Amino acid sequence: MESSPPLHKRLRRSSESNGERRPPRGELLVDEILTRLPIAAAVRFRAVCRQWNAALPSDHFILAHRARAAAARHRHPELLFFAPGAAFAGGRATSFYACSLRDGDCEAPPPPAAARELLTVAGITAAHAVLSPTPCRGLTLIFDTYRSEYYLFNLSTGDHVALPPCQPAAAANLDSTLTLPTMNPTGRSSSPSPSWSVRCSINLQSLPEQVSEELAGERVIVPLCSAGGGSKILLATGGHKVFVYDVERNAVERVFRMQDMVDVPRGYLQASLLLSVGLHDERIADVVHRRAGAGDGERRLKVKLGRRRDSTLVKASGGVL
Amino acid sequence: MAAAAAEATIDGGGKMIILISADGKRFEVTEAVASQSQLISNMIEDDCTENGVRLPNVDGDILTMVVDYCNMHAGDAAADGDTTKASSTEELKKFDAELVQALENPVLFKLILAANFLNIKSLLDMTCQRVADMMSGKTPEQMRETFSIENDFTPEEEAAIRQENAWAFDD
Repeated sequence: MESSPPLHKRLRRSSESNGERRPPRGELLVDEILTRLPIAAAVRFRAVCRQWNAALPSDHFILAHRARAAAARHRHPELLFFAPGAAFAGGRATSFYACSLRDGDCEAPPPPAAARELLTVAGITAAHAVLSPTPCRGLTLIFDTYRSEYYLFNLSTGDHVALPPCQPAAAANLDSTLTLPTMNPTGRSSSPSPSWSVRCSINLQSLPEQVSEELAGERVIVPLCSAGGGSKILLATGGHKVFVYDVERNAVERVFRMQDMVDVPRGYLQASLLLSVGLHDERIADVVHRRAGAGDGERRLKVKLGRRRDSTLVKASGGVL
Repeated sequence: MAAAAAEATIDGGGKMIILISADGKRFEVTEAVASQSQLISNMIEDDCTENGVRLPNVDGDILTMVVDYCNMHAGDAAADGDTTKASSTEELKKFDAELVQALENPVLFKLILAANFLNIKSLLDMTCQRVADMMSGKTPEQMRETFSIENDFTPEEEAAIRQENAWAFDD
């Protein structure tokens, strides 16, 4: 007797194998194929047919898509960076880009992956922008230091909201009431504060001269995230670079330099405020807008989305039409 | 027991099993190769592969590809984490890329169904990613055309969806 797989296994999929040009349907389509789409495509394809318009905006799909993207990002973190962009809407502008670190691996530095333009924001200049280095639930906080305004952005969709202005009252009472989160002196000045400890230090002398010099020349170095199962740390610098530090091997490798991706103006080779590099988290996440009350017109920035936002996943020969 | 053709052994001493496609083609593979399919691996565990495994919804052409893939990747799972295999990892990547690049959609979809049915995760991942990559730059119109999907929206409904998600449409 030849054995066959259990009957229910056969029946479950047999109806799906008839369509010739059609992709598989049902769970297989939604969970295995559509969750692999870049978010712009996953949202755009809501307009394909009713069935897709029911599946793609569903919580089930959004969570599954997020889980798959998170797994991919764990292997290949995505960097976010911004630089002065071409002016539009009658003013200076800042462009935001994302690029994937194909291999967070010290041993084989990846070829510079191409960056994709996420969007360009008018009215904020790159020299005055501060970015939250890591996004939260797909949203990035951008601080316009020139106007003292905070914006919460989904940089993939351009959706954003201006946060309520800081209360002037807090500033007025700065001296007496605002407590900064500094350590309380314990009186025993000889012992180091118990709350701080060195988790990791990089011995510059033990690194190859070139990397060592590069790192020593940086004024700002901020850890972004760990990678490679926690054995590696991504370090972003004020000079628009990202290094991977391998904790076990005490090795450092540069994996990103903004100049390799986009044209960086001469006067912008150092971030004027903190960092111009962070992490990107592409998600179908909506920004919750405040209800416009009386005299409370929402401040909106002029945003121009980058072109071909969802094209980087298409491999060179993959553009089948 | 020893008489069963399905248990012929080759140099590695691996037990052989026979896979039989829907159109009756027979493929002899080692258990190690076949058990990359979770479905077959379970059947091996349950001891019900003695006289061959009939796969009634996988055509011979598709099964040929699946068997090639599994033969190529047989050492893969066993040597997981073994860095000495670095060069063959490159070969595998090349093999995988060439396998899916060359396929026409109907064949690719059949391969996905087979990978899903046989439960071969790496093959399913690769083939589904390929389809997603092909889809990702397309407009809804191109999607319908490429994949023979009927537009069952009213013009108003479609316009509303487009307007709601305008950011995803303009290019």
